[in-house]
Amino acid sequence: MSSEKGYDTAILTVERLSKAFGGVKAVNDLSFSVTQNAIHAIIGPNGAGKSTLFNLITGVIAPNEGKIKLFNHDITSLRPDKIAQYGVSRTFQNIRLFPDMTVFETVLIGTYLLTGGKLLPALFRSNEFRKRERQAKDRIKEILQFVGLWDMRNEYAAKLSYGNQRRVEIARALATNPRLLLLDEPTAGMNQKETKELMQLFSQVNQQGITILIIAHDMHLVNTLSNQITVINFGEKLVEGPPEVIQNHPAVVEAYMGRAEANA
Amino acid sequence: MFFDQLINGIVLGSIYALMAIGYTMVWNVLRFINFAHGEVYMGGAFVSLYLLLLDTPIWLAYLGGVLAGALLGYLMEKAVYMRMRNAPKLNLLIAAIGISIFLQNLAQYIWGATPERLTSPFLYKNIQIGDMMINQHYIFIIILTILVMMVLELFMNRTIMGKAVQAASQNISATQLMGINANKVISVTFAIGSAVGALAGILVGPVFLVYPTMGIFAGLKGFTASVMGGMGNIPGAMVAGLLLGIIESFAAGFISSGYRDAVAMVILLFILLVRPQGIFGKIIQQKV
Repeated sequence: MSSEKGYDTAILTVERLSKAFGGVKAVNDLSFSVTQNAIHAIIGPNGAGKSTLFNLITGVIAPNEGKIKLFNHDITSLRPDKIAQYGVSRTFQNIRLFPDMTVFETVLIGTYLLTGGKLLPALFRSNEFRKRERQAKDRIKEILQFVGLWDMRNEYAAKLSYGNQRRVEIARALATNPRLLLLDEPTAGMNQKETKELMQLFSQVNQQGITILIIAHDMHLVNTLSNQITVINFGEKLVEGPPEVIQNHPAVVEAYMGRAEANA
Repeated sequence: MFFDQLINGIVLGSIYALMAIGYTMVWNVLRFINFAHGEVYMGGAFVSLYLLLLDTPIWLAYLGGVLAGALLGYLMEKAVYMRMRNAPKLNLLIAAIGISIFLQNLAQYIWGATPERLTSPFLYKNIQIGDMMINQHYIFIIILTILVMMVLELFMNRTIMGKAVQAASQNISATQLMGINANKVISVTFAIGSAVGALAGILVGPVFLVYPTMGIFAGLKGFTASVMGGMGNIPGAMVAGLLLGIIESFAAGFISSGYRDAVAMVILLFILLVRPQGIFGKIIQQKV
């Protein structure tokens, strides 16, 4: 039931994934795969299980059944920090920053893996540590210039505009050197200008070779940005395909508009 | 008289400040009060005392006590608190009280209840400044406290591990998703906070003696200081600890020594009424 093409270059494979909260099946027997370098969109009505899916992939919660593979590594039920080390990073639907940190410090946390986070070399400031620290600082500068926040690096992240807070979150995610970036409704609540700028940023990120899995409601964004769409409803996959196919698919129209005898 | 009380206050305040750091650091990462922290203070002092009985050189005995304190805090977290990550905070609090009582009794079983004096290379020497005689051990306490605060400040703000501790205290789920092992950060936090607490116990040992329940009052004062400074605020805990010590010392010297704790508690109540977030704390907005 997974996509016909690109199995050999799949970066992420979700196999028959299920997760129930009490009696509610948030994700139900869901399978799909994300091709390397794709911008893959997940769409579906509110409560369809999209955010649960992201929480499962990033290890925040464990599935009841099914498998998640990243480059053929089984990452199912691994700790979130382990999964991040495999190259998965994300942003949150409700922006989650560190309220008492500047933009620079926030992104610095993302480079923790680069500097190794070892306590003793950090305290004694070994040469190896200094070298890595320099590399981390260069990387932070590069990322902040890339997302356009270098001039605001010393401001408190939580004090920035909503659009820029999202950029901080993206910068922090990029600092972990992800191969797969998960964006959970990144443009929700943004104005048109901010949305347009963020969309540009996403395609630039993608051009750097980072695969993107994006949850979105904005159909214009999904249609222009993504090259593969998976539609889910009630935790199950409805249809999958490129934007041209999805746009007018009867099942999608039904899921969004509803129908009298819709089977639940 | 004034300066004598001031010095006494700074010494007492240094101890409170060192204790407050442990409470505040643990609060930062786990959002609960480790009521067994006073027993880390006691444990460190006892291990130093024991090492001295074995003819260990005094500096090694002190160091051993500090390391034992760090280990005790680390084990406490690994053995008990870590297993209760998803439990209500009240359960952790009660577990902490349980650990506290257990450790007091364990210490009494091993070492007995008779107060004993830790030795200090400085205890019987004085420094004369003007017409004032200051005990050298007091100076030692003050210098060591300043040193610890500087090292801690460097660790928290200049190392990536320190930044990770800060990040974990501000948003633990986002921290984990940056590839940072939250359990490791929590362990490091416990070890450091406990090492500092044990150091406080060791420094006090030569002055106020070492006995199994020595941690109860010191713990209460350290906790008071951490609340005064704003829970979770490390510099705040340091300043509030010093302030509390000085206030107590003046209350004892100029009012009556019997009123010393009463004055401290009245000030705590006053701060809780006027600035519930602590002197240096910020009002935390709860996000829905």
